[in-house]
Amino acid sequence: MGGRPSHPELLEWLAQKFVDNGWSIKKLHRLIVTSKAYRQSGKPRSKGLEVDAGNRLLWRFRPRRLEAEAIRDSILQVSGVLDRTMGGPGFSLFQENTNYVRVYEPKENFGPADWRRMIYSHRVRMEQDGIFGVFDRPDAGLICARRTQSTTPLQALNLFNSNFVSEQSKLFSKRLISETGEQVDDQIQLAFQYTFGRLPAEEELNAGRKLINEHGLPQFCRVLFNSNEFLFLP
Amino acid sequence: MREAYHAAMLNRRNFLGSAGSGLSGIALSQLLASHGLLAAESKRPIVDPLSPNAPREPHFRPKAKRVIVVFCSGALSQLETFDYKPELVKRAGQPLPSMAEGFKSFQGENGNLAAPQFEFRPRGDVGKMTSDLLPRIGELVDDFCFIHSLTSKTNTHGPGENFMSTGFTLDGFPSMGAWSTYALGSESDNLPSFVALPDPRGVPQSSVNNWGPGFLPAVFQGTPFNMQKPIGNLSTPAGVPQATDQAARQYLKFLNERHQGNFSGDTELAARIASYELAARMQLSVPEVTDLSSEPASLRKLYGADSSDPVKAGFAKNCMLARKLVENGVRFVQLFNGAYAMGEGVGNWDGHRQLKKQYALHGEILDQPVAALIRDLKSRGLFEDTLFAFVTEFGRMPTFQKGASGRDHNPDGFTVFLTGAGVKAPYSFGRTDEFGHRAVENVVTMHDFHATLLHLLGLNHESLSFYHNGIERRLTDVHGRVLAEILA
Repeated sequence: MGGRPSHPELLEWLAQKFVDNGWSIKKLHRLIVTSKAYRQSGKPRSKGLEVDAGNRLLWRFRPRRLEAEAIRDSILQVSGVLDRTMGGPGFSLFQENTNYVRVYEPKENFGPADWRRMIYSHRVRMEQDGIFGVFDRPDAGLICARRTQSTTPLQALNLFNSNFVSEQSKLFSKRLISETGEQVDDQIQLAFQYTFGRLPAEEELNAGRKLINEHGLPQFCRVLFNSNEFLFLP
Repeated sequence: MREAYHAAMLNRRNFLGSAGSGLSGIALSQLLASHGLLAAESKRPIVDPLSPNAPREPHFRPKAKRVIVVFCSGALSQLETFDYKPELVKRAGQPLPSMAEGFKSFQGENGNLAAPQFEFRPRGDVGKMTSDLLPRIGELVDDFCFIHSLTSKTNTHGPGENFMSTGFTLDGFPSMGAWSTYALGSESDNLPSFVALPDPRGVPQSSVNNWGPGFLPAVFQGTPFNMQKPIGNLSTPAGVPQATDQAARQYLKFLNERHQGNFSGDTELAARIASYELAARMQLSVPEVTDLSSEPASLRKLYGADSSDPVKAGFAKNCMLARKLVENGVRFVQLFNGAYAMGEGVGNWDGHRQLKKQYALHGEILDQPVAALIRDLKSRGLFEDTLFAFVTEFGRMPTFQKGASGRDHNPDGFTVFLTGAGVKAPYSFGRTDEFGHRAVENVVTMHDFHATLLHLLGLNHESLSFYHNGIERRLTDVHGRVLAEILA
């Protein structure tokens, strides 16, 4: 916003096409998404990195971390407990108040009532959810045209150590056992499909088996919830 | 006529358009700059996503490398602390003469002038009059640079705290600590670069907005913790042995590095792997820095850390922690004295009703620990390059409220002080009127205060910016003057 366009001729051309095609947004979208440029691989190429590491020219889709809400929803979905009820009263991410003016203390323990999509959480001005707030979730009292994206150690601590993730890891383990039984390799394969949408490679399977045998299935699930592949759009 | 006007405009525009490149342009921009007519060039810091907190160069040689702000939440009265007004003693019980002229109360009707509730006496070699409310801090006045004429544009606590901490009364703007770490990064690679230490009684009124990142990337937000409440989720989940945690970390690293192999050269993914390593270091270094057991008993005593009052002892320990944090390279520490409203004037400095009684309690909590912190910083040589600011969101009225023995909110003239790196001391800047009601000499805005703070850190407040929603944003909005008069 406000900067110079990286491809001014392309913008002109697209604008003209838009007018020529009867101002149809659908046709404009089709034109863009079926283009060769749009469909090329997102994998970085060394030549591209050399010329434009910052991706100003949009030569690839960079891996993007999911937003706060999408991370929480995805964890609940994968562990199998996401409550997809639409509409109705929301749920609170804060503890009950005892002071004479409202004070917000983030909840540390969650139950089924809190396992709805995060869009249904009460938004409170100035106060953030204790776990997912640090994932650049903007304050509820603000207009935010575009979220910033940053990577911080607090995000790592919250995802790796919080009660919420520990509990969800246990629920995910239960789900895996109930759906595939006690065979560790089956559990790993199903877990990879739920979290990454693919089967594990041999090395991933071997290392995962070792972790589960020595330290239990919930630890394995905790790792998957923290992995880049789970948290990033490729 | 109209065409001639257009032609002239175009010519002027052409001239300015080419001025930047030609030799004449250089001469012109020098001329404009020397007359202060050229807007400062924006210098957005270049942040490496792999190590966003790596130290970055300031705009010019700084006086201060790091900052400690002691924030007295609830509006600490200038009249009971450092703004001595003999006239107020003389004319106590009489009406404020200017009462008819736009007196802005917060809570309702005000009564007559009220004398300071604590005795004043000369302190330090300089003989500065300060009150018996904060005698130990008062003893150190020879090192202080007072600003007696600070003003705020709000008389409401939440917006007032926002204004002091972020330069805007509304929520959602980056705090001064966030701006500082965005500009300068940190000198510690295993502690947060910006730490907020809330009062043992709780968070201040506008809570996290005091240390929030606003629209800056979240990595620059203050990390809140103190000796009473550790960083959230800092420790390994209950019941998970160290070896198990380690094995999980290893498997995570293995998966992430394999995944990274498909995206070699992607900084976001690499940054996330690095963030887990920093988090692991923090899990070790934060408990270390918050462990005060190796501090000598004499020092604990100096701070009042063993006080029988748990709030005082807690605040004293937070002061000790503040010193340890800056000693370990943390860039910005914001230490709060006073919490949210727990009843009028109960949890903080909001003395509406029974000012004398409540301030006596709060003063005992504040005075000894802060005085000890200043002495401690000084004795360790940290004063050479640490800026120490003692602030509050606004001041209080020279009158008592009707039917009460306390003072209402007053944003038109109040006192803060700076000490440590880069400021004149002993020095008193600005003045309020004879009753301490309104700033009348060298009136200072919050923007001036922030411009000066950034200047001491080696930053031009007009250049340090972040582009957001169509505006090149600054801590000082479009205002601010560096208070050159108070610089050493």
